Amino acid sequence: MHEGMSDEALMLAYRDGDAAAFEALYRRWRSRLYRHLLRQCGSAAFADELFQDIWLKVVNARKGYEVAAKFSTWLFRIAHNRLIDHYRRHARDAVASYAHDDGEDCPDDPAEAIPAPAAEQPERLAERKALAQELVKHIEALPAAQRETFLMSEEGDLKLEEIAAATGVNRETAKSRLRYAVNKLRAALKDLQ
Amino acid sequence: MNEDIRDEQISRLYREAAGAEPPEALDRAILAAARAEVAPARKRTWWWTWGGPISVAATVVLTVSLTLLVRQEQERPMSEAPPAQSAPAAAPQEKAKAADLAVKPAAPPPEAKREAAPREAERPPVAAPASAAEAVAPAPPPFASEPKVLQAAPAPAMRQQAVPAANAVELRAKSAPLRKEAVGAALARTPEQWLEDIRQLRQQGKEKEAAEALAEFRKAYPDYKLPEDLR
Repeated sequence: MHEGMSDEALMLAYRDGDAAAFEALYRRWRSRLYRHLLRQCGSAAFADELFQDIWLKVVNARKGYEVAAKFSTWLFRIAHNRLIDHYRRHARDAVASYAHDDGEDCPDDPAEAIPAPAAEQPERLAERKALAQELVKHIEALPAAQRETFLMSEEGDLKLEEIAAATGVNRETAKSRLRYAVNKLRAALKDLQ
Repeated sequence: MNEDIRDEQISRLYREAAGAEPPEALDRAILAAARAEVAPARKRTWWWTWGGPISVAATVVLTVSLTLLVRQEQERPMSEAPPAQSAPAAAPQEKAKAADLAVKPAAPPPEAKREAAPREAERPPVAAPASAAEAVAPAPPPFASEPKVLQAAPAPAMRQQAVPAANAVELRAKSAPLRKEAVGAALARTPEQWLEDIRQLRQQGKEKEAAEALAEFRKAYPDYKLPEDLR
């Protein structure tokens, strides 16, 4: 019944009293948002708490919901704000890291020069699972802003403009963060391979 | 998408690793909260449904009760208060006697009494007279502008006004040189009846008797405002 509907149409239906529409919307985004949070804070307990808070904010915003942006942009913006609160409460260092981590402060990052990986080699396929786990660790080790931008791109499928809107920065800053994040992960993968 | 920046190999590898899912308990809690947010709009509480009608009914009952209570309070002085209250100077026993004498012949039927009560209630409150002379002076006839037929047949309320007047007359009988006949006549009838008798004397051509009776009346009721035809 709700399969063909867009996220925004589902949220509007929920605003008008259709609880099943919310359930469909939740099923679409639950895993991606949860992973986004889990990678961001590195703790399942914190991720659970943030996850519930964010969805309850969506529920409580039901009556006043209007389509001003893509639902995913709105959802990840709520997540971004909630994460900032979380960092302030639990890790002051992370806030400082986030505030000064626009990428521009490290133009000589060696990862910039690393080329994209070559074609996938069949012999490494067996190691992919372990490699993937290593990649997650490197994602979690990224500076907060770069990690958030990368996860929004991967989990939320957000465009640069949407990432910029969700995180409250301009498009160029979002682009720079994403580029640095990808380059660092490429370098890490190269070391692992 | 961000094709110029994204690395497909990293994306694919990340998706292979990304197997984490939220706990089922979280799913249940969030979905229950979402349903609860929608449910109250459909299911109205008992008070929400019946609160309005119950409030209106309570207001009506309260208003009717207060109205009846006020009406009863207004009727009580007419039926229960001693008639001698308006003539405080007179002795209690004498006042009661005079009241009996004055009220009995002119006592209105119960229906008339009930009709008279609201009229009495509508009149503004009058301060109790300070002396017997003031008590003698009756208020202006309440139906002065009405036809003579009405004036000739005084309302029950007017008859009750005669009570303090009769009390005063009895006092005067003791202190002033009034004749016993005049006192008896005064006690037996109301001022209106007395004036009607005087009119009848005039109509019968008995001018002398009428003048004497009028003089007696003036002595008995010096402050009474005489009708035009008897001045």
